[in-house]
Amino acid sequence: MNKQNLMSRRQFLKTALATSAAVLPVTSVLASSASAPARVQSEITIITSGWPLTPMPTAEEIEADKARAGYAEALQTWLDENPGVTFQQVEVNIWDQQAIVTAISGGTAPTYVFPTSIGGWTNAGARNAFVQGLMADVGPAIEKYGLIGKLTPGALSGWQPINEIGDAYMSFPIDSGMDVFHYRRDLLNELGIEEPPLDWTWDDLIALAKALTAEGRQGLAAPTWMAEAILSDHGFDILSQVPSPQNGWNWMRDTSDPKWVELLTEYRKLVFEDKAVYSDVSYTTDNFTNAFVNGAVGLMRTNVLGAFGSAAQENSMAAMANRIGKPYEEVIGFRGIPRGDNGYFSNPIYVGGVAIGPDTNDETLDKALGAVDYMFLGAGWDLQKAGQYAATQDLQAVFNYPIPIDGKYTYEGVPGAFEDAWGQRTKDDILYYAGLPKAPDEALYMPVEQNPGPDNQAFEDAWSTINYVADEVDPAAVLKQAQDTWNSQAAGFSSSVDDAAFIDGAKTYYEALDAFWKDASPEFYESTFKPWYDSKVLPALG
Amino acid sequence: MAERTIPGGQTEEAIQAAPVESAPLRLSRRSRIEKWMFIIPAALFQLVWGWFPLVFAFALSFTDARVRGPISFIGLQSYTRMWGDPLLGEAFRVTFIYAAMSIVLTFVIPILVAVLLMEMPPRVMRWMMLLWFLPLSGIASTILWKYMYNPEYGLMQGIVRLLGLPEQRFLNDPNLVLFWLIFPGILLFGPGLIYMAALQGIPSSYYEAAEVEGAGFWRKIWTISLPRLRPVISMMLTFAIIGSLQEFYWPQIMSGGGPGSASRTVVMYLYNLWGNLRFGDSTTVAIFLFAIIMVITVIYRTFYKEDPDA
Amino acid sequence: MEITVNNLTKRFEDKLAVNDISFSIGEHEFLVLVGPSGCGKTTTLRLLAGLEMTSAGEIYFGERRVNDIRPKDRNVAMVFQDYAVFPHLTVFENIAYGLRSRRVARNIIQESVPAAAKTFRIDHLLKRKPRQLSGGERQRVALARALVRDADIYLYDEPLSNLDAQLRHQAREDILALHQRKLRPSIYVTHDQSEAMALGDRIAVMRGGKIEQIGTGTELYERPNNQFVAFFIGTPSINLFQVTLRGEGEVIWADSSAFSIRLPEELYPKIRSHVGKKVQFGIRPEDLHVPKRAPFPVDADTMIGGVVNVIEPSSTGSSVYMSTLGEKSQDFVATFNLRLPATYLNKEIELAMNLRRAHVFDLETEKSLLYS
Repeated sequence: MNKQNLMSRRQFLKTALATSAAVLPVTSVLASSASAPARVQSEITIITSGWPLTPMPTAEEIEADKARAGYAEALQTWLDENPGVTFQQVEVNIWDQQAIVTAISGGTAPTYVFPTSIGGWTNAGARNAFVQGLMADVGPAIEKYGLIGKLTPGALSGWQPINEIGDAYMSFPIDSGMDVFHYRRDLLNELGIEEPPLDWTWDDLIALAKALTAEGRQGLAAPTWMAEAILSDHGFDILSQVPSPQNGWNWMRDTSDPKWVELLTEYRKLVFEDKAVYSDVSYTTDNFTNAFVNGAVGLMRTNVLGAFGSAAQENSMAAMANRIGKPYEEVIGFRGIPRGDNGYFSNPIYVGGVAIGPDTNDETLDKALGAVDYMFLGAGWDLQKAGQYAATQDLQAVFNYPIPIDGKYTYEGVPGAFEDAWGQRTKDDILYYAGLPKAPDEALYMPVEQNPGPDNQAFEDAWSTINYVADEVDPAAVLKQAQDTWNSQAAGFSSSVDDAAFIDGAKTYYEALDAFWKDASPEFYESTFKPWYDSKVLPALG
Repeated sequence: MAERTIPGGQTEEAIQAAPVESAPLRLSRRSRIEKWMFIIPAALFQLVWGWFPLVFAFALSFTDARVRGPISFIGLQSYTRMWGDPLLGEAFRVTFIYAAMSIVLTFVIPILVAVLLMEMPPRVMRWMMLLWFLPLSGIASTILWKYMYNPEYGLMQGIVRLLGLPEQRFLNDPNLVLFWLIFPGILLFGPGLIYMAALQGIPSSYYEAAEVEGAGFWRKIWTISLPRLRPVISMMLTFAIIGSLQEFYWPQIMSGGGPGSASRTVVMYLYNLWGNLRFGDSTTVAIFLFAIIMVITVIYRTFYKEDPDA
Repeated sequence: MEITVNNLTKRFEDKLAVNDISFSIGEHEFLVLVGPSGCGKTTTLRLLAGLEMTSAGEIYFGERRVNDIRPKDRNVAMVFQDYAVFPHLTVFENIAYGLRSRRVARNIIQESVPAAAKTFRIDHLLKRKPRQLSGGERQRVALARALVRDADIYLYDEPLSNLDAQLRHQAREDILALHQRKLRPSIYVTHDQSEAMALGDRIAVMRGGKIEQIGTGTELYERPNNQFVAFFIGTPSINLFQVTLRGEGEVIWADSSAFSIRLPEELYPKIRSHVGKKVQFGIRPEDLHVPKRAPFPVDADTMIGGVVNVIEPSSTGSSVYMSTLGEKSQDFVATFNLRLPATYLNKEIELAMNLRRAHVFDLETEKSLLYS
């Protein structure tokens, strides 16, 4: 489970695209299938919320954002080759789990959906949702468009295991991203603070957040999940859950390690004593992005997919660099997810894909993904990019995908490459983090769960309390309560996986983890993982 | 409600003989068909959009419903599971406190304010009405209020400082978050305008008669204004109870239910359950809530005599 | 205790509703304020009740100046046009309302409320809500509410106007009964002059915020100060003719296009100054007589001729609507204590005027030349 790693991807995507959730009372949702948008206007109508493809931009839209000219040209080419297909825009927030599940269950979901949001931002949850029928099988399109051969080995290994479920596929890959911490390099220079090393730790992050805090500026922008992030980056997601095949639900939560309380106490000190954290229960992603690009915050966790907006885009870091009047690389620096002081680290790189709503017929599915293939991995991509460059003459507007899943860092018809737009150092650092070893994903080992189970609400409440409640919070009690609540909720569920299959899966998973950590971080392995594995996991698995 | 005036021409006997529900309108055959033409669509609408979903939700709560694939009957599993869910208990606690607070603050206060306002000179009244009609609702106001409540630079903190009160954390304070969510509603005074409209319908002679009969300010309010408002209050209270027990939108947008679970209402919780693919559990919670609202409404309607003149 | 009103004025923004009026009401007196709508009679009543603040002038209840005293402390009782019976209270609670406001002991309320109700024959309705009562019964609830306590002054604001004719008579009796029982100064406002004549010890006729004349019914009827009072009091209204006074030696004639009459000598001292001028000549319908039955000597110089247009029988005789002869014909009316046969319709007849009861008004000031 690397939930929080995906969280800020969600935040990015939210900012980039969606605005409002379709909020419907449950009862009307149940009856609302009758109100699905009319789908038979032409032979095939692809319904999109604006991601990953929008309908043909209007002349006004192109006027407002010249880079859209390339998109329009490429899409038109595809539409010419595929007569009878039209795109229709609908207002559904596909990045909000509640909203998209509501839409799918009500039959009003768009053709394109995002699997991870449907699954509650975990890979295992997404697979569970797929098995429950919330997404269509995209296997035929994967085969037809030859996806396997188009991906780099890295992208393929990041995408295929998670998306291949039995003989079906959950999503169609389009891009790759990861979370990093962006910071104000110019401020560091100004204040004489040394730049953190590539393998920085949370101690470095906390020190940096404090150092960047000054009158009118706070060190770190922190959404609710930042309290969880400090734990996750020390291995909390792995170490706080233990298998319990003897119970109806096969997992339990165990947060008894005093390490977590220590970390949360440290984090709260940063928030409430050092006042180094920009955070409020009412903030949304916009608040954090605005705060960063307006200089009210020095350090912000973002997804690299959203970080490379051109200077023409308001609220982009490139635009901020322009305002300050310095080259991008002198204003903006970034580091990957910090390591834990116990030696834990993570590689949050992922391959993102588009899934198809379950009510889509085969023909529409084929055309919808054909368009995606053309626009992201085919000739349409180069057409778009060349068109963007022709319209803007701005390399930054063209090279906004830092980790191309097909490995292409140059595009036909565009002079220059990613590094010319953003600097060699930027590219090297991204590739460094992308190349870190990646721990085995639970979703790849455990049999797919078909029943709903306890959700993460109890823990999300805990992070919220840690992050926002100023006085008299005992992190130990908060954690204990979250754990007990979760466990008591879990007692009401039963798993669809039989115990033997669960134990088999769990054994292979933990063996893989054991092997991984022994090699990847002997420090973490010896100090933390091994003692925990021996005392908690092995006894549970018999 | 205005006093029914008796036309001067009627004799005493005639008035006494005329029942309140006067003879039903005799409709021609054609009009009767037309009548059904108007009623049937509304009834169908109510059936399809009102009762069917309810029955459907009730049925769903006994299943392990999912979007695709077989659905099986699981009896009371969802009920036992949700009955024992500590977070649901917490959500009900929050909802009841929220409902009670919002009824006291946004329901009772406007009654008093409206009643007091009616005693103000017309000029003051006009200004106050204008203030309340300012566009302080909807999405725009969530943005406005989020800004107002910012503990660092929000206007509310400025007011708190100006009054020499201890600094507030506003929405970040789990003990006060519900109050701060309700607070804009007090200023909005929504129901107050309805009370004022109703108060304006009370014949001024009632107040004058009361004054002549020696009634002071409070006695007039207690014996005339409030009893005359009773039908309106009753209707508004029913809406307020039902509405506040189903609160969703405002806390969802303002505080997301936080900090912790301090402002997560039952409907927010069931919405989250739905999103987490727990359809049966979600509808079960909806049934719980429905039952509670039903019971409260029935008790209230039974013991509260709506028509003050009967 | 006497009620005295000195130079009372009430201004509503730009409108003078009550314009500098003065009068007083004796201890047991029943005064009726009468006048057309908008004349200021109701405003005067409300000023007395304290429901309006005075703009100028003074109101005394006995020795007590009450201008700045709130209605609840003035100890007045008032019956409203719409009765203002509280629909959400029972008849008992309505009657007891004033007693409860004044914190009268419970046992006294328990006794006096049914007693007051009994006076007005509503003691069987005490548990009812007003909605279940008829208009007349509601009115009696309002009366009982006024009766149940001892007020310094009793005020009635057109209390009968919402009742039909039959009930009105009974209600009038009830009001007089209430007055007889209390014998306190009472003021009764109505626009109906016949009601005023029937009820009032004295009547004040109001117009445009002023009291035109105050006096007993007979005074107002027989000796009106001005043309307005003469016209307002009495049904059908007085007949008015524009005439020119013509002196012919010792004799004064009144000439109009329809008639030429010789005025009686006793009027001369008062009208001599207007000889040669135009004046309004007034004669009440009852002072026109069929010549044969006239209770005074009749000659050609007291006669008015006309065509009968309408004959309206009444309980005591008939009202005959006529038009004068001549070019500019003018309508007038005569009342007889006999039934005029229908055969007279469209016939020309001559009537004798009882000129001793005639009125003469200045054309401009409308003041009576005879009685002002």
